[in-house]
Amino acid sequence: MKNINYALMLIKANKLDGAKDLLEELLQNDPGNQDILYNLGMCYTELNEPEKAIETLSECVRCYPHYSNAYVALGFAYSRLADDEKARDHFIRALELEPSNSYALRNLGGLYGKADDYEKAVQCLEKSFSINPEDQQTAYGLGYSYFNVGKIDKADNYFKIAINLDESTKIADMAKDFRREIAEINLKAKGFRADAMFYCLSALQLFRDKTPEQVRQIAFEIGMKGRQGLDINNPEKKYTLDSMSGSFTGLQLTSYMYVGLKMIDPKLDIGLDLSEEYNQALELFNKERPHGYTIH
Amino acid sequence: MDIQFIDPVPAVIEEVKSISGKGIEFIPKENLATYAALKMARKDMSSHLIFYKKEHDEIINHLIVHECGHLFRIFKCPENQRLMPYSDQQMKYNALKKIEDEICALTKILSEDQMAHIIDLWYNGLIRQVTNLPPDIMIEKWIYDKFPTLRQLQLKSLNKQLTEAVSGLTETVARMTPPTILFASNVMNYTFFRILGLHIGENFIRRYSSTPYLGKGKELSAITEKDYNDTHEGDNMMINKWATFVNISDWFKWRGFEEVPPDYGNTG
Repeated sequence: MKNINYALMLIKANKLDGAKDLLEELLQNDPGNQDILYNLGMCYTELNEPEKAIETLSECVRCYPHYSNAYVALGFAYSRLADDEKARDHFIRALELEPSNSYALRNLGGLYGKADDYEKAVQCLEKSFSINPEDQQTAYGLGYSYFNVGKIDKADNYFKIAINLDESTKIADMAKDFRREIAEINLKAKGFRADAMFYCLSALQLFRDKTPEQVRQIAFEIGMKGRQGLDINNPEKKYTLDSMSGSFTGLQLTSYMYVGLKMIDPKLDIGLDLSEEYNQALELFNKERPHGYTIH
Repeated sequence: MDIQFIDPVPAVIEEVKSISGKGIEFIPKENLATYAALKMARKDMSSHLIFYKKEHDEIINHLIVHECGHLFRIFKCPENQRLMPYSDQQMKYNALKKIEDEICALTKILSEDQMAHIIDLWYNGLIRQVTNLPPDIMIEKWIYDKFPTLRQLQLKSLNKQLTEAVSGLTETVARMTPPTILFASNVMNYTFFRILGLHIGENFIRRYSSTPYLGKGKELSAITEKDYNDTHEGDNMMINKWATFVNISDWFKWRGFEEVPPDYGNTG
């Protein structure tokens, strides 16, 4: 006996094609079933068949005019067809029926963001997030909106939340990219960083005695750590590495990584600009006397 | 030694080929936990793989038919609706975090270098139990009903499994296992043997009388008998019900049958 619960398992496992086939089969035996219509409509949208989604979800709201999630899903299908006006109308209708529908708020926020109205986007997304703080898309949307209005600290905080909610998703990867961009903005906001220059110099001295493989190992380990986010503006916060003993600040590790990667391939785009600090450090390093000096 | 197939094993192997479109390659392998283990063929594999211990006895015939039972169930399901359970480091971490206190309490008994290995055994063992026992019940019922000539071997094989299961009732195991894991494991074993015993007319659960697993075990048995849809889809839904019942539903997730690691098809 076929069962809608199995279709839901398939959806959760992202086997949408299989879920769609099963739901179509179930719908034949139970044509007006609310859950089947709703989930089938959602599958069509995700499988890039928005016309079929609209047809199915319209039937759902016709049969169940008070089912707010169906209006959200219908709005989402319209947004896939780039019909933002109809999409917005359906999200608003969902909110009329259920003012705390977090998905309606999230999608409406997304539409405002798309129209560059970040103030309204933030309002909707903040409300949505307060209702559903486990939703990664909302956290990411908030990070993105705050980033676009220049509230970098808030943006960074929400990107961090998005990553922590589920690190395995594409959204988490995008949030990580933004955090790197924010780190660079923060770094350069203070102009030339003498501390970074000294860390670069220290790295040049350290790597002089290491093999290219050891340098690569250290740089890549820092790079992996950097994906989780290194706090480069807080010298109190310390990190450790498997490939090197001691504890290090975020800026120190970032500088070491920069130098290491430049030693591996000078043309490499590292995504974080420490070129001035690195060049100054190189100059100092090349002037170093035979007896040398040590920077701690 | 090579496997000496008895009836109906050759016919079952033929049926596997007819249903799945692929034959079975038998590969001798030492250090297996059982006499035989199966890797079902994915799209890019030319055959299913059954690994077997060189040193085995005739029980292996029952085990091969049992593994073929898993194959039949999965390959009768439409390709895009096949699901397999999986777990990863994050899920393992989250799961073990919840029983951190129970694990910490055991550090008084177990040494640090033993801990990591044993934690792995508990975690993987419990997932293997919850994701295998429900379909195993249906497969064993099928074997009993369809292949009377295998009944004697089946009984021998189930008794071997029972001996391993009831070791979970001993004081020694109880002292060295986190209570949450021990309870879930024993409740699931009880359910498996209760249902099968009733089906084949054997009292497998004598050793469980007056244990704390009886009540929950009977409850899980009732859920299983009442709701089982005898297909791959039904297996997966019942696995979820069992996992929820013993409170480990976040220990694993589902993904498509074909989504296996690139080295899955290796014969080593």
